[in-house]
Amino acid sequence: MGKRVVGVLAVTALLVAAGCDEEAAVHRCEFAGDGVCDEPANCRLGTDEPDCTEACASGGPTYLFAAACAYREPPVGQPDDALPSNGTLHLTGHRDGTVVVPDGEDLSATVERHYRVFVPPSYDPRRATPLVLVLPGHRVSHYDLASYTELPRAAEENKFIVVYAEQQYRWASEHRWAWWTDWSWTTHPEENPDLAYIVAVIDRLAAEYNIDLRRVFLAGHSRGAAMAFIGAFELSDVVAGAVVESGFNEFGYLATRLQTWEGRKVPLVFVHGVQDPDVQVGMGDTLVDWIVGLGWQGGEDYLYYRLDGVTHRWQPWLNQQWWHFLNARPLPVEEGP
Amino acid sequence: MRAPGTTCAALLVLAILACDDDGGGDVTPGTKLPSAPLLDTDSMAHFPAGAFTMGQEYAYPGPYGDPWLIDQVPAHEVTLSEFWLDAHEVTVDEFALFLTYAAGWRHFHPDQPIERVEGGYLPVVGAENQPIRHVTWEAAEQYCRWAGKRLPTEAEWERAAAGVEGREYPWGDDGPSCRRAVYFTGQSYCEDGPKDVGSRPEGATPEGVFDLAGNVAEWVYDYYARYGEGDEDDPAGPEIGAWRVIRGGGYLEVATSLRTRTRRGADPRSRSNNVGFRCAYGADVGDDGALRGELEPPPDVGRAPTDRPLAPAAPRPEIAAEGLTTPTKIVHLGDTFYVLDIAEDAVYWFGGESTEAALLADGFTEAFDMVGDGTDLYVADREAGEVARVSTGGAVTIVAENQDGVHLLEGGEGEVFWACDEDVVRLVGDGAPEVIAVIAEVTDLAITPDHLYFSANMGGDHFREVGRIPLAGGDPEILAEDTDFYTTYYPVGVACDLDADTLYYQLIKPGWPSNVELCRMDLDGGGAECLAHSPPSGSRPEIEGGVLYWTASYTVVRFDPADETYSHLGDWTRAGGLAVDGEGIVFTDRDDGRVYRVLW
Repeated sequence: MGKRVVGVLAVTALLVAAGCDEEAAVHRCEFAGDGVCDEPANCRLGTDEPDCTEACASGGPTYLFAAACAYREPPVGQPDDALPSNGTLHLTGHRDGTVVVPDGEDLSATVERHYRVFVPPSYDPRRATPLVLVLPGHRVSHYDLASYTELPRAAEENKFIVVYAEQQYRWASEHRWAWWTDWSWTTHPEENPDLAYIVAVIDRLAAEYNIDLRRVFLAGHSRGAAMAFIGAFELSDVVAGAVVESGFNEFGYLATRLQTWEGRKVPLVFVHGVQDPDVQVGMGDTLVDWIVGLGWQGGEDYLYYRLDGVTHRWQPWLNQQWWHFLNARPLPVEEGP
Repeated sequence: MRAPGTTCAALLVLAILACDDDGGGDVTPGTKLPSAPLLDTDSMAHFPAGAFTMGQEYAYPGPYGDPWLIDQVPAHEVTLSEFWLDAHEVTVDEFALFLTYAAGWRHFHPDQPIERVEGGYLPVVGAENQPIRHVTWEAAEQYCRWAGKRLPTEAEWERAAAGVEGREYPWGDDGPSCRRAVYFTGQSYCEDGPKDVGSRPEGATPEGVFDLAGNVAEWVYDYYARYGEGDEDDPAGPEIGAWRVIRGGGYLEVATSLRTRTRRGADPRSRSNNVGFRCAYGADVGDDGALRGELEPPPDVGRAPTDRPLAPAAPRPEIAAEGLTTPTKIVHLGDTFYVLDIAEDAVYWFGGESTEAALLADGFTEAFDMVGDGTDLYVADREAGEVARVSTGGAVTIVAENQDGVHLLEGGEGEVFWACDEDVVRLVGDGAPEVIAVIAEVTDLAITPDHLYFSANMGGDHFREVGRIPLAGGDPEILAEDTDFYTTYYPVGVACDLDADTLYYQLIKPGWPSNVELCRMDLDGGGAECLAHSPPSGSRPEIEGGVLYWTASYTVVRFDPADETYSHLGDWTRAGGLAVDGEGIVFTDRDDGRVYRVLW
């Protein structure tokens, strides 16, 4: 395979560049007006005004004069919502954390619950950064979630912080990790320990990082999806929206808590496989039907990816889709009196 | 790659560029100078015209199966014209030249490892040959055109990665490893960030294209959409769309993303430390009239640090040694650490200031476990049915043969114990091995002055039990055994804290999803209880100062019985072995081949 040369070879110029004596500066370009934008290779930026202005406006081969075009279009500032908050940790990477919250097996006691945080490499401590809490399925360790959901890359591309949340380990029943979706929703829903845990983690992260508190989202799979769905409603003043993959609900939550709903139409994204053998797609349909009955509009308030050929599995290839939808729907700004 | 050499023309360009925007005003008489590089296909791989199968036939993925199938169906035949593809991802060095000669701050971003100098842009020192990242699709597309090339189509990218034979990964059908790709194994990151292009030659395609899996994922030309039906000639994706396709997976991504058919869409305006690109060339790339020639970078004058305070990475454990393949057990003798590498069937050592692990002994058939007795190392060679003594000078002596199923060792002062299929064996000094108990499926051993504690799964007269063997002689004493609970969990680790009269043991739930519980037994007759839980264990617990440490999937666990709290040490890791002393903890990572140290 030989070397291929395309284009015009440079001609060695027996020339000496003029000096940079600012006093003697002559703001002009030898090639100005020849119909070719010669910035920045042959003319200093801003000196081939007629040619470059016309070239930039024409939409021609901008790669050759992008700097010239950029020179004439100063960059815009940061968006207004990129305001700093109280976060003090200016570190990227992974960290483990622990919060002490009520013990669902004995509400008079407390229990340590853990989480692992992923702060993307391009985290900018000057900018408020969205937060996504990921809730694993029944019996699944929160450490499994990074590879299972493939969220690190989505977090880096879209500049959000990810928290992999741990379910309470239940010693009294089967020795397993499980969300407290099987709660007594009729008697004391506000005491659900998972809601306390989620709020505690958000508060901790908001104290440590510059979190965009209008963009805190829950994302769950299976039983974690059930908890994400619940959290979206029970914490609708904190959680902007939720992703419900292979989700369901049980123990009368819908009928008990969502018979009516006067609150905000919390943005929701549902993903469910038609071939899901564990949580049949009809259970996902039920959730969607329920919120439609409460007034949610498809495409506006919720999305439903009802996927043929998919079983009981998180769908990493949809991470970008649900992020795009939720990120555009932050918590509304509180209006003054 | 930038052509070597310096021309007067290039020097002239630099002199001009060195005049900043507010000064200069230089007049350039005579011949125009190049603003774009020469096209050099020597640094590209050639792919002749032909057909290949793109995408994947749908197959039922199983109840929890791979999601990667769904947007990769159907398989369809694609015929491509002849094309060339960059052997390497576009580097920081190359992109800085693009910024200097063409793009300026239009495609500069402070997250890129590039800094401004008076005459343009230069790479951050040390990042020159890393892949450029934090680039938009537009920047990638314009770079390639500036270079006299174009972005590869998705079909070209897949043809190069999968070959006409349809490889699962660029190198073949075997799964990835940190030697083949820079990626996230699921338990451990191979590297903290993208590495120099071509750093994984074992992961190259047969044609010599590097890093198609891992390092950084790569923008390709096409808009993202599900595949249509039918065969295609030179497809370039839909004519309109919102997102562009990214291929190949980056250092933040897992094995499924490294597959040759895996695809996803992303906002073309997005920038990521995980995404870069490479360029392609074909007959469709015409002469664009660009003035091409050899380009030189600007002088390193007036270098300005990035104007954004990049958040530094959270501190990670110190690297004590690296360059291993699959390090597992680690033993500390004197000032030196010894590591068993089960992929190489060899023992390595390290110590002092160097982080390079040196070979001590090899040639084992299936080196499975290793301990020290205070003076020497002992290696269980399961396949050979042997136990070997390895001196710290590297001399290997077989001390026991015909040890069927030897899989577990425990070292005391001047003595060593091991477990075979059905026996527990003791070797003192240069004496002969002695069977001290008949126990099947021993899962761990822990030595104390008077007893050898053990855990076992099942077999013979013993079933899922924890017990101890008197070293003075006598039958094993069962401390905890088969119960209803144990039919679900079985013991896998034991550790004794005689100062606290406490025996700790780990129970594991087999199958998926599995987890480990740490339990303790009062050796003074006070009963037993379970205290903590973790993901599955990778090593027996170690005790230092009354605190327990063990390796678990994804992390290293510290548990303090005093207040019954546990925490996690280190970052993501697939720890394979652990050593604890008064200064800190040292653990191996089976995936990235390193040994890490956390000081107290």
